[in-house]
Amino acid sequence: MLTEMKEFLQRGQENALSMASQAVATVLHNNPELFNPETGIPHELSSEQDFYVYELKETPDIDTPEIKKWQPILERAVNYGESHILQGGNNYTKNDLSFDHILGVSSDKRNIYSIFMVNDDHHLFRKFKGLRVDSGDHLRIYLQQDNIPAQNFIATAYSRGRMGIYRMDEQWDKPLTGKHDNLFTASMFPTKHGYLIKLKIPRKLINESASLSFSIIDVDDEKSRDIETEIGTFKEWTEAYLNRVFLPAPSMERTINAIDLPDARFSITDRHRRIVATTGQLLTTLTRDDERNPITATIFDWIFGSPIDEFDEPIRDTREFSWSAIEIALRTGEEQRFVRPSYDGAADVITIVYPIHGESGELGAVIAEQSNLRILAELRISLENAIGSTMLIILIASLILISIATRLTIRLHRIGQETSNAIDSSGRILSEQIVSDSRSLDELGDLSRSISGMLSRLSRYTHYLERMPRMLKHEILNPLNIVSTSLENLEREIPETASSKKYLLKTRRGIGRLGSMVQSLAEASSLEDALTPGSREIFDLQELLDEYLENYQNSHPLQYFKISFLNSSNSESSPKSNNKLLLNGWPYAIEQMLDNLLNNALDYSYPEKPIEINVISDTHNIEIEIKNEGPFINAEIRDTLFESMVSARLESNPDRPHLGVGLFIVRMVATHHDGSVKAEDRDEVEGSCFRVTLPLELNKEL
Amino acid sequence: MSKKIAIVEDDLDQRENYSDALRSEGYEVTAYADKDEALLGFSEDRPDLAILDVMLGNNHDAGFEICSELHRKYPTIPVIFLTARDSEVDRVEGLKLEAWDYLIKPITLEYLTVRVFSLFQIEDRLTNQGEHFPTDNNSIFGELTINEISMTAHWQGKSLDLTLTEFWLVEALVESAGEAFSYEALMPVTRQTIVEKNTINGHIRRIRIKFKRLDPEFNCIRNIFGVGYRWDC
Repeated sequence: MLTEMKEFLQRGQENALSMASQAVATVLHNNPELFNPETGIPHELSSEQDFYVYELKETPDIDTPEIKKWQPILERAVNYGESHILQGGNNYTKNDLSFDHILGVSSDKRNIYSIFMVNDDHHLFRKFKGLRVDSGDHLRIYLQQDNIPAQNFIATAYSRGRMGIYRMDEQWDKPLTGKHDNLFTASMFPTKHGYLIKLKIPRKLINESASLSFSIIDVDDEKSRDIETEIGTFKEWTEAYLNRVFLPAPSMERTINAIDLPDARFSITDRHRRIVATTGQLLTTLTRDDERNPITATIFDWIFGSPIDEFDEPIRDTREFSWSAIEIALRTGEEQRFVRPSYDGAADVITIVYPIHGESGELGAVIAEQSNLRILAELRISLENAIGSTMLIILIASLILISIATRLTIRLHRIGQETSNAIDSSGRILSEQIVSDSRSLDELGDLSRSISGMLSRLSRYTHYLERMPRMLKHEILNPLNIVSTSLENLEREIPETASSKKYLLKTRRGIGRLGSMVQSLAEASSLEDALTPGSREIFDLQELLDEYLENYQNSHPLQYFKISFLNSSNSESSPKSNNKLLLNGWPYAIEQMLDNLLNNALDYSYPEKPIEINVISDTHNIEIEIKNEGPFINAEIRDTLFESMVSARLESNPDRPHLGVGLFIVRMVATHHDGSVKAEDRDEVEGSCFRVTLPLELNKEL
Repeated sequence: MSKKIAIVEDDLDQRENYSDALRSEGYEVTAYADKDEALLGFSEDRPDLAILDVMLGNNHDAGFEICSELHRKYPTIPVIFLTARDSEVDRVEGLKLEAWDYLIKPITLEYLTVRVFSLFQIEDRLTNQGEHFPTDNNSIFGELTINEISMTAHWQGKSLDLTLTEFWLVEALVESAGEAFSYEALMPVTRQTIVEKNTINGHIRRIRIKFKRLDPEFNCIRNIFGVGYRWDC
């Protein structure tokens, strides 16, 4: 995706560049005079051998070591070193000899200037005594002009300043004349690392067919004055006299200067692939920081490094890349385009080579170059923004999701909490309404409302069960009254015989049993009626328990009760402790609670097993534990054990009807005393344990 | 002249049974089935005693309404409520209307006639001698004075407003003072058909309240936990 985008953008850029170069080519089309004069270049050009002459804004001074005027083009100087050793150079190190060289043309175009910045660890001037001109470090100039045989010159100096120029023989042994040749002007200045040579060449010497080469001769031995090393601007002796000098073609440059494509460089070559004009710069400077999102930009810079925002490539470096493309374009007359990595590898350079057509074949080629740095930057910004906004959206979406999830969890938790709090451990419904989310319109609201509905239905049902004995009693009492009163009237009417007496007695007993059944059904409600807050009193539970348990034991002489009192507040343990356990409530209700608990324990006890009664108290609470040994509580009814009309009894005793009211009374009494009751199986033996916990009345020492 | 008893009871069978039983005791009985009929009858003929059911038809408080109407007209007529409604609220309501007794169904006709007889006795004494009872029938137990004939009790000289059932219970407890009276022993004393622990507890509670109204320090009726009650003075 990203690659496609890059390719697309690059193609666009290529096309734009192609159009521009086509436009340039069209302008130059059939204008051979612009490439004028144009004769005899007998050999192929090689980039390394060509000198490109840069324009100097100011005319350099030949007599001072000052190089300030060269500064704008100095970075384009070419370094020559080990690879260009022509002779000597045994055990070569960089400090032995190397130099930077550049050519410039003054703005008046009359002279060509050259500087050689030579690194030489051992600089020697020419020896004063002796005729040898090559007895010191010197410069050789190879000049080939038109059809004149090659000419050799050397520039040498006795001291700092102007150098003497001698024309030499072919073998560079002797000067042809003893006189200075003043074709060139040169000067030599020692520097920190070696020396500097400034050279002035008349412009007229250099035409399209001229070639010019240089070499620097290093002489290190003061005694022998032998040539130590020669390093030239060419690599092989055979290449001497081959260095071409290219001068900017002003008319051509004027023509193409009008092209104003940012960050693009246009070069025009002649048919010999010599660059005759160039305009524009590859330099690309990007200041896109305002388009970048500061947050994502920081993150991206941290991960991938800062983006390249400046790119440049000197022309000399680039021509070698397009060499073959120019050749093809000139040969076929077709546009060539290619993308190559830049010299420093930081970006790609798009290159278009467009041939300039003439009447007799191609006149030359337009080379348009532009880096794709802008595309890269654009891509990066788009990528950053896309990823940035995606991340932002994901972040916002996840935050929203998390908050929704959290809210749901909290709401569910609240509903769950409230639901479990709505029914207490003994199954009593404390609240018929779930307040959480009861007004919400979503599924949780429905859930909350349906739980509320369930709770209120359950509560109505429980309430109905609790009320049923009372209603039943009320409804049964009237017919029962009819039967019993009718029976009485009947007794008076019918003659008293043995059998009538017997049957009447049976009937009366039946009615009595029916009545007591109804009465015990309503026992809970009549007790609850009595437990009005106004009739509360403070009494000593200790005294009640002592008396009650003693009497209960007396009335059940066959049952063994194991009674123990434990007061953990002062750890004094004795059945007849003198501590008072003050309770605020209804003593007769406590009595009935104990009745029911003990009757229950008795009913479920295996024969001849003891019933344990433990009374454990501390300063705040009293716990009455009644343990028997008998069958475990049926798991099915465990949860509803303390509800009205729930009984675990399978067989019933006709004299004592069990209607599941007893434990309901226990819970009712415990609750009215702000206490609780719990039933559990015993661990140590088979049996059950009922534990009533009641809060004691505090701070009322009697 | 025989006493006139008015019975208001919506159930035909019970109404007839009561009437038959009381007539056989020699009383003149008029029975009514609903409130309007009863009020009309009372305006024509003043009964000497009214036995009222509380619920008549759909009117749940018809008995109470009849009672207050009756008392407005004839303030001294003794009234007995005979109902299946045994809730504390109803009892309080009934006794607030100055009913002489509040009986819970099922009732034994034998006990009913005993009560009616006793009530007439009391009423006779009230109308004939006002507040001055002959003291020769008084039994004195410490600060409590009991008159068996007029079935009245006085605590520290002040009259106790006990119902018949309550009087019988107090009488029974006092006569065997210091001894525990079990629930089982107290049940027949109430002369009601179906009695159980809560019934006794309820009566004792109301008796205590009545004593405490006269004497906040009253503490003579003691619970014997696991057994019953005891008069302890």
